[in-house]
Order: sequence, then C-alpha cells, then structure tokens
Amino acid sequence: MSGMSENKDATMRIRKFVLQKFPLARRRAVTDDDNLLETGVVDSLGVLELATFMQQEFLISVDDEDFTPENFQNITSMARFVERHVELQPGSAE
Amino acid sequence: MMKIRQANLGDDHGILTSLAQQYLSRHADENRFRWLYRENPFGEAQAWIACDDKDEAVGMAAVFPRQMYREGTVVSGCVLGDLCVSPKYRSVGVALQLQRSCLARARSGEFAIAYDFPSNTMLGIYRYLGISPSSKFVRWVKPLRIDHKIERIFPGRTLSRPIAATVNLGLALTERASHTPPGVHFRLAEGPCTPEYSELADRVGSSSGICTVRNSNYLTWRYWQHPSVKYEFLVARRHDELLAYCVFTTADEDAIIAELFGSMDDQVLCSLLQELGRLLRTRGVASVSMPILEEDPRSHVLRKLGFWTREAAPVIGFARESMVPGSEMLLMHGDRES
Repeated sequence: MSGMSENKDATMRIRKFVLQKFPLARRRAVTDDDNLLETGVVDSLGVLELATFMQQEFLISVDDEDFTPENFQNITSMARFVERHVELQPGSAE
Repeated sequence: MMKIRQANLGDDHGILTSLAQQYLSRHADENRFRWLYRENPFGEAQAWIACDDKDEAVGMAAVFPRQMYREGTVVSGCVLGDLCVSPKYRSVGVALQLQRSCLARARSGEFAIAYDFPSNTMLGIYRYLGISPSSKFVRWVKPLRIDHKIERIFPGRTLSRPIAATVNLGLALTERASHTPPGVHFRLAEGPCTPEYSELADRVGSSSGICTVRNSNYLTWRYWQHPSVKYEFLVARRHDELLAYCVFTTADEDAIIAELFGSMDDQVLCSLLQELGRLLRTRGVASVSMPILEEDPRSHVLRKLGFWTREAAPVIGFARESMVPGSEMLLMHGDRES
C-alpha cells in the first residue's frame, strides 16, 4: 500500500473514532483540519482515549513525549503521526 | 524535550513551592511545604520536577510517606499527591511522565503499600497506565440546621423563621434517640495528642485492615500542627480510658469529619457522632460530612444516624504490582494529603 493511501486509511479510521467518541465533534461536524484541542472538542482525557485507540488500531506505540498538541490537534496531524510510526515499526517496509 | 528529575527538598524548595502555589492552590506556601514535605514524622516527601528544554520547571508530583498497619504489622506506605502542571504543558504527556516517576517509587521495594485519591484527569492517566480504581470514596452528609435553605425558599422572615425552627427542632430530636454507653463521656481535646493515642492505634488499628498508624506523633503533626486548617478533636472516654475520637474541621457552615477512630462498637460510635452533631448545632453549623470508602464497616452507623450518601470519588490502592481492594483498607478524609 502506498504512503498516501495508508494516510487516507488512517485519516478515515481516526475520523470515524473521533465522531463516534466525542459528541461535540458530531454536533460541530468537525473537519480533518479543525483544531480539536483549542475548540474543546477533545480534552486531556480525550487525548488519552485517542492515544489508546491509535495504539490498538494501528499497533504503534505512543511515548509520553509524543503527547504534544502538534500530534493531537486535529485528525490530519494524528493520521500523520500514525503514518510516521507505522513506518518505524519493524517489518513495515515489506 | 521534557526532563523529569528527582527534587532535592533543600535546594528545590523554592521551585516546588512556586509550582504548587501557581498550579495547585494559593495556600501551598512555604509553611505548607515545610510542614508537609519536611516535618512529616513518617519521613520526608519525595518529589519530582518536570523541566522543559530551557530547564524551566513546569510541573511536579510527590509521594508522602506513611507508616501503615497491614495484617497486624507496621509496614511503610505512601500517598501520592501534589501533581500539577503548567497550563502551557497540559497535553497529558508531562503528567504521564511525572506519574510514572511517582508510581515507580511507590512500587519500589521502599513502600509496601501506596494509595491515591485521583482527580478525573488523573484517573484517566491511571487507566491509560493500566490501573483501575480499587474503590470509591463516598461522602456521607447529614443536615444539622436548615435555616438558610428555608430562607431561600421563603424569603420573608415571618414565614421562614417558624418553619426553620420547627425543622431544626425535628433534626435535633433525632440526636436524642440513642443512649450513651454507661461511664462514657465526651470532651474536646485541648492540646497535642498524648501517647494514649499511640496505644489506641496499636490496639485498634492493627485489626482494622490496611490503615495509617495513627500514633500521637502523626496525629499531632497532621492536625494540631497543620499550617492552615484548624482541626478539633472530640474524644470519647470511659472514665479515663481513651475509647475513640473524632477529628473535624468547620468551614463556613459545613463541618467535615477527617477521622473517626477507635472503638468499633456501634454504641460508642453513635454516641460520639451524636455528641458531635449537638456541638456543631450549637455553633450554627448547617451540615456535617464524612467521606469514607464505600466498603467501610461503619457505613451502617452513619445511615442509622441520618447521614445520606452524596458524590463519590475514585480511590486507588496498590501493594507494589497488585491492587488492594477497598474492603482491605480503612481510609478517611484525613488520609488525603493535597
């Protein structure tokens, strides 16, 4: 699968989770680039839920240092984070 | 890149005080630091500081030592607390790193037991780290007077006064229902705790599940020497023998019971709490609360005396890698640190 389609897939799965999990995201019909942290759609507990989801769904590890606004501010940035970390997984280049 | 380092209480006291004062409570001043971090009779606190890439301190967390009874013997324990992070860095990562440092120490060989009363955010962090709550800390509350509530419903004094007087009388009459055990009398303690409190702790505490060693040094430090909160001891004695005591504090019109300790005899506990109710009513206190674990064996006494359950908060207890169920612990409001 190409990097672009992987990213599209991650974006779609993260978007689905965000819309399922966070009622405010549904009500505001957030887009992939809307800032979820500054608009209060996702709080710090929500970030932990997102990290747990990303770890389980994409089999990546999220280190404590990765919990930055840059990585979690919107759906696009989370998908990019996943893409970077999937590339780092052993065997991911096969 | 964030760095976590263990604090040196001597060199870092200014940083710790400043962080706590900015991000925890305005009451977290030098006096509190000295009392809580340095003068604890069970040992000095251990703290960690989070620093950003410019070496600026942006968060802290601590563990406070306790001696605890477990299965009849005294073991070392600790309570986690004072975790706070600058709003600039509230993206969970800093809190996670600080909490991992505290947990690593709490689960080290140094402490046999550790516990925490996490906030909702901290509970999320615990869950993320794979730790679930052991129990709930339930606040029981009993109304003593309802003057202000009635005044809000009936603004005119002509109507509100007689209604309030009638209801207050009804509430007061419930205190007369049970009898004080023969030879038992109550008195407010006038000074720091004497060795008889240590004897009571040994006698009762060692059979009360996992609980703090409430010896005279600990009680004197925790309550009589508290830098900002005034606590009082209402003591039950049979002749000269110390049977039980209740530590409480009053803020505005509400009182909170920080400790109820000693004889587990229902009649002694009931009469001690009723005496407290009478005392607080004469002072115009509107309600009295007692937060305890939901499994606390004294819950039925509170219910019998007209207390009602209100909000509950999570409690986490662990013995190194294993969780401690609430049924094995005896924790009260006074066991909280920050």
